[in-house]
Amino acid sequence: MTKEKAELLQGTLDMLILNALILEPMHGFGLAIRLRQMSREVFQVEMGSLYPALCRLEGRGWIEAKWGTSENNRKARFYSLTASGREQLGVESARWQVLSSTINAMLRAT
Amino acid sequence: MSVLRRFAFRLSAFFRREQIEDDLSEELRLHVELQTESNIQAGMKHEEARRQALMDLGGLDQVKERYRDERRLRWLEDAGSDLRHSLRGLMRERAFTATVLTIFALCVAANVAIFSVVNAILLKPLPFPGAKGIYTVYDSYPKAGFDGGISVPHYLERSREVSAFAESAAYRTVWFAAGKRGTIQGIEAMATSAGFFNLFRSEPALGRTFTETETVAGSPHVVVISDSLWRTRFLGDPAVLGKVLILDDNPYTVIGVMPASFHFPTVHPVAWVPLVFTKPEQTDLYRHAASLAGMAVRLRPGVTAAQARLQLDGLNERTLKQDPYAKLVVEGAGYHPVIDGLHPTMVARIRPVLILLQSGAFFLLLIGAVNLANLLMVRAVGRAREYSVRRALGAGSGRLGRSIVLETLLLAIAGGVVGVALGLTALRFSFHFFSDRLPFEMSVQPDGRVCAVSLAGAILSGLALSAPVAWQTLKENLSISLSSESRTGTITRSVQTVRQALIVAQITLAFILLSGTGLLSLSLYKLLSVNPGFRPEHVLTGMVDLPVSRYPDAKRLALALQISERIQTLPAVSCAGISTNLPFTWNAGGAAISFKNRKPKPEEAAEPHPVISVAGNVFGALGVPLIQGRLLGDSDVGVPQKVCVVDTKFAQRFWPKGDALGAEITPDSGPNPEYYKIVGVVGAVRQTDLADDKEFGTMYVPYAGEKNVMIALRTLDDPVSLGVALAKIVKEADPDLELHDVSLMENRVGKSLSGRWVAVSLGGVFAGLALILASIGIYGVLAYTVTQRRREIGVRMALGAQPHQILRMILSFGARLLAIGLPLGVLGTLFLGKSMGSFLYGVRPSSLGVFLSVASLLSLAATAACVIPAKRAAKVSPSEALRAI
Repeated sequence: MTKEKAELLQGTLDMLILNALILEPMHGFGLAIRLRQMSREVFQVEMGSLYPALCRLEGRGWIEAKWGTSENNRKARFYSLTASGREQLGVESARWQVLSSTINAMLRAT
Repeated sequence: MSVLRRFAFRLSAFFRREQIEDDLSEELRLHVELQTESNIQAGMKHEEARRQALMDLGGLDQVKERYRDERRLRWLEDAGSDLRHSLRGLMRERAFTATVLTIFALCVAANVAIFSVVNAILLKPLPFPGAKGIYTVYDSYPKAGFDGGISVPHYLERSREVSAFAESAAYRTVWFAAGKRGTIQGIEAMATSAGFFNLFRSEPALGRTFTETETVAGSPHVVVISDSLWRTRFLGDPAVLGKVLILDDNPYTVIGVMPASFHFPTVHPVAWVPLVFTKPEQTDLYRHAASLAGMAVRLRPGVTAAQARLQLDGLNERTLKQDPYAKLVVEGAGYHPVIDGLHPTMVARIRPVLILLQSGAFFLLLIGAVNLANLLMVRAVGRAREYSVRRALGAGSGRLGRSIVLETLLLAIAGGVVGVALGLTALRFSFHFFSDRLPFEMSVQPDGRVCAVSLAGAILSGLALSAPVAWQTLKENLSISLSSESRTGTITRSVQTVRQALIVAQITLAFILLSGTGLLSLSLYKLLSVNPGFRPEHVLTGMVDLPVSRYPDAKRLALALQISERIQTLPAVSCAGISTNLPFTWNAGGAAISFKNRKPKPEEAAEPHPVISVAGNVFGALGVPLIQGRLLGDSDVGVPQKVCVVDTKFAQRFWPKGDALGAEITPDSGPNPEYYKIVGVVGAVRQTDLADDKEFGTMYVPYAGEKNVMIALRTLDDPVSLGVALAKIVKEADPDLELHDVSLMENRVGKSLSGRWVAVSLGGVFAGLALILASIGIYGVLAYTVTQRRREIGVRMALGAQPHQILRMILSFGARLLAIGLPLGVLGTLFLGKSMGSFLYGVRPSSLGVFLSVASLLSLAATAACVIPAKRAAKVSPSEALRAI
């Protein structure tokens, strides 16, 4: 696996996580389910990447983690979007728009 | 910003590691539980549901590890674990660690101690503002062997007419009897011109310094005192200004106190009085009477020393035209004025010794470093398997290299700290050797910068030393050392070559250090057996100053003769007498001698001959033999026909046929001199330096009431016990007289060699260490080679090689290293020995004897170092070597 590819995937996962958290704070498992639904089961988020990604986003200050109680009364760590995370999501999705439309255009051209 | 933020995030994790681990486990546990539940709902069995959940996650530990990668400061933790690992390793290998630390600490200590002195004396600027711009001007007479000092006419002309000199000041040393009757104390003082203190930009702590008008003859006596005199004599009285200090019975008004930090040119002067020139002193006749100790000048800003020198030479050309002695001093003595930096001039005498010692210490450091590199490399080979395993388990080159560097650095820092502490301790103990020959306050104190430089040096050498070790380790082929099931690892040919080169370097360096020390020791040995021309054993000496003003000439004469007579009657004294200059007290300087009825050649007329006044039986007391004629006696004092005695050197110089007796000579260069008739010839005496055989011959005249009197007495038994009786006789002659500087003649002679003793003993220590280090190095490499070649040796023996053949094989390996190292050492010594010229006496730098003895000493040590591993090799049992190893 080349580096660029990994980068792209990683960046994409980060963006998808930020996007999933835009409505409400969620715990890790919930997030996994949501990502799966959002991708309409087309691709499966690898759970092994999810938690390191959460850690990374937390480190950058885009999300916050807090211990809380889940719907069926279990102790769970809830992640929520921060102000700078919201901003970052804007930047990322804009960039993604540009990238994907460019790629689409290129694909059509050939 | 975000980089900082991420760093802080990770750093905080470093300190809350357990909390984070717990959180992560909890989070993942929940994930797995929820996933399992959802799988069960989807119809799986419990066991299967959980397994699927875990698989989905990709393994608990794997996720955790990836999470940790995101969360933590990997390198910090790695450094921590490397550090712990290194420390554990070093603690385990105590012998190795102790050896390395000792070598490192000793080498650093030697350099710290010597470099502290070098830094304080040679490198630090003199403690005056703008000290770089201060120069000294003096007259040099190289052919007459006389340097330094300046005459009054020259000083006045030069300060007036050389425009490059912004300021100038002259000074001469004077001795005073300070205080009133009953509290008299001899002090060293300095007579200085008015601009003296300003030239050094030194302000008095109290009061003021001299004005120009106070340096005119006949003006009221004033004195500036030192901090120490102020504290001792005036008990630090803040109202000391205006009080009176009695110097040689004259009242001097105290006008200022200099701060304790002011010292020039030594710590000894404790008072300063205005320098007053007499009328005759300023005439052409006194052009070459170097009555001033020195002239200090400050150059105008922007003027270089070369420009000042040009102006000085130009002035000199002009003044030589009106100089009555021009032809004599230029042709006969090579007279010329000199301008030189004040600092280099002041340290000129001690500089070569310091440079010699520093080079010795530096050589030791080099040898130590080479030795350490070797030891570390040998050790790294022993650990090759450990490194291979670590590598196989995934440690990268960077990580391995880092741990090697870290380990060497640890050793270097520890060794450096111990070495600096050791060096400072050594400095404190050896300090008094340097302190009394320091031209300055220059207290050689622990200097922060020296310590910092030394520690930085230690760390840098640690880094440098780790380079070959890391290179060797990383170069190693992983598969070979892992797969060769029995051996403890192998090293490549290039590594072996580097190590042998290091050994050769060590032998070379040790050879140079050893032969340098050998040359110095041989010089000292030859000097110790030099005959000084007198017998210093059983001779006690002391000094008495007779203040000029209190006693008229006749009274001083009578007083001195009385003392001289009384000491001769002391029991247990065989001979005693007084003299104005005993050997090895201070340099008497000298006067040009004129002859009645004989015109001297120019080169003869400019030679300085010491003229010494004697009374009593000084020659007997010193053990100077009478060669011809008779000695001077008390009956020669005060008679119209003046008589004198000369030494053999003088007699042979001017009367090679041996007919000196009856000739008439005089040290007086005035127009109507009184001539002294030579009545006897005595043996020549070395006056100040055992190594100096360039002295021109001495003239002895009857004592005529000079101010400084030195006493010498030869005793039948222990002379030390007579010190009290001697002091009593002096006190009885006059209660105000004080006997001082009482010392055995042997000690005075010995002291003149103390610099050489220090050089030889330090050199001996350095050379001894070098020898040990070189032996350790050779032993280390050979011992390792033998271990390496066990299998080969086993094969050889199985094929019929005899033990003595194996022994010879190993020994010849050592011999080969010696055969390269020794000639290189000889070359190095020949190259560096030239710079040692001034220290050598009676030996040449290319002394074959020294080379041969050093070569055999080194060979002996090297052979001893080879024998143990060679014997071990010869004992290798073939079957065992082939089977197991």
